[in-house]
Amino acid sequence: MHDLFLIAFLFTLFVLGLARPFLMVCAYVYIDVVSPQQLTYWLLNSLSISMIAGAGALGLWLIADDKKDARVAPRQVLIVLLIGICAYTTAHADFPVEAKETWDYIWKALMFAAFLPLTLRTKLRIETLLLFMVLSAATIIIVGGLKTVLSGGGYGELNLMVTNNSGLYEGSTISAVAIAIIPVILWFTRYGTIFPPDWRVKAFAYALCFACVLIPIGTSARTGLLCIGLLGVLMWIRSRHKLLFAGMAVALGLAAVPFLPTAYTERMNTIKTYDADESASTRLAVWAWTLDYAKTHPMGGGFLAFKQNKLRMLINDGAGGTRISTDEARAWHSAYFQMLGEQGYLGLLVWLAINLGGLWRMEVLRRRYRDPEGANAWAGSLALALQTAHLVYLLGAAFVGIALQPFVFMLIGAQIGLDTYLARKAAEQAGNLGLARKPRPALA
Amino acid sequence: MAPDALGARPLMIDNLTILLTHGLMLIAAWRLLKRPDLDREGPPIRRGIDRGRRDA
Repeated sequence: MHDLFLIAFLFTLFVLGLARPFLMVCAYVYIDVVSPQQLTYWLLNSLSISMIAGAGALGLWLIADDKKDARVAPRQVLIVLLIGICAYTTAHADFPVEAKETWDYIWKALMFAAFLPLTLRTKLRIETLLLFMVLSAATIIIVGGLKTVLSGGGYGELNLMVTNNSGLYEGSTISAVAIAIIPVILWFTRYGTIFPPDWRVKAFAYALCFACVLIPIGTSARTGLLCIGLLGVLMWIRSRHKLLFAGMAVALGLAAVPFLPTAYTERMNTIKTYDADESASTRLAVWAWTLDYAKTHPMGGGFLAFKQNKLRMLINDGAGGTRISTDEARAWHSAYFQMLGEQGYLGLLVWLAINLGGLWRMEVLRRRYRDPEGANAWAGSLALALQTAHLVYLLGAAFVGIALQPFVFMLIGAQIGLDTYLARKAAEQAGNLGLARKPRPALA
Repeated sequence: MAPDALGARPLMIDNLTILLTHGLMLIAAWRLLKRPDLDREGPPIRRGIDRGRRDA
């Protein structure tokens, strides 16, 4: 029954995609985030549905979509450049077989992120993309939230339907992403048009935000706690009633503490005692190893180059002494060091340019369309939501190796799409008014 | 409550969540069929654009 429902859902989406080609793009987004092939035991798990949706989205765009005045933003070029760098490091990887396996799905995710903005020609398409991203992620987040309330979860214990730690089903990854998308969810409570924001939409959105906050608790991912803190600060800075917001946040935080599982509070307490915590000490050791590795491998070692590390750490034993601990083949535990170790200085530079460029462009758009009474208030608000989401991601990425996470690159694709859409509208408006002034292009 | 104390409920939670989110996506897709502005928009509204340019 469960399998039949998922098959029927996907089939319906494909059929509707023939009538509205953009729905095929949404089908690809859904498949990439939810991985229905991992949730079923029949048909979907044996078909390459991701490839079918990807080819369908590209084919329908080539055949049926309007490509007049299609704009390519510099950040799309940077993403393609990053694909080239990844191809080079894969060809010269320290672990060629493993690197090739990672490359096989990473290049598709990056290529889709570069392609996505070309399809975002209307405001409704931008909204639709974000709606499908949020609802797809919600499939994992609501499951995690409900199970956290009922069982308390625990590090590596929360069952998110799929247990192989792939994509958003990995605890630390979903913790960072769940907190990052909260501003986007809240945007729908003001500017959604597919589901106009009535009491039902608001109730669902607030409940989903609550489930998002529960995810770091359920997975006991310490990164998630930092992300919640940053999101709180960013929302406080932008709030009109700062004192009220701060009071409510403190009250909510204090009220929540007694309900937190013991396993969670114990694990969060280890944030303060990193030198006695083997997990945190291992991170520092991996990062130091990566800096050394980059000196001899400035072009990077390809995907999964961390597998060659051998670490020795001094751990505080809690009784005033220290002990030596050894470890090997430990993962990067940071997107920044991941890029440096895998793609070298050039890859890190390009990746930073893509991410920081996004923050900057969203700031430009936020300021340009900041008037809450203006017709493009939705755009200013969305730019702020996407910028906040990006900042939260960049903090979470400091402690989790999610540099090339496809969901985040879709968010970046949405940013670029918003940017090029507004540039196109401004150009159209200038043309309508007969202005000689050259329209402001999308810059990054 | 221990994680295993959920009993048979995990499957029910999984199925209900899938039903909810996938149902919403289907409704969204259905509504989009009736929205011509998904593929083509009318002329931009002057007031907002002008204000945006002035702010820039």
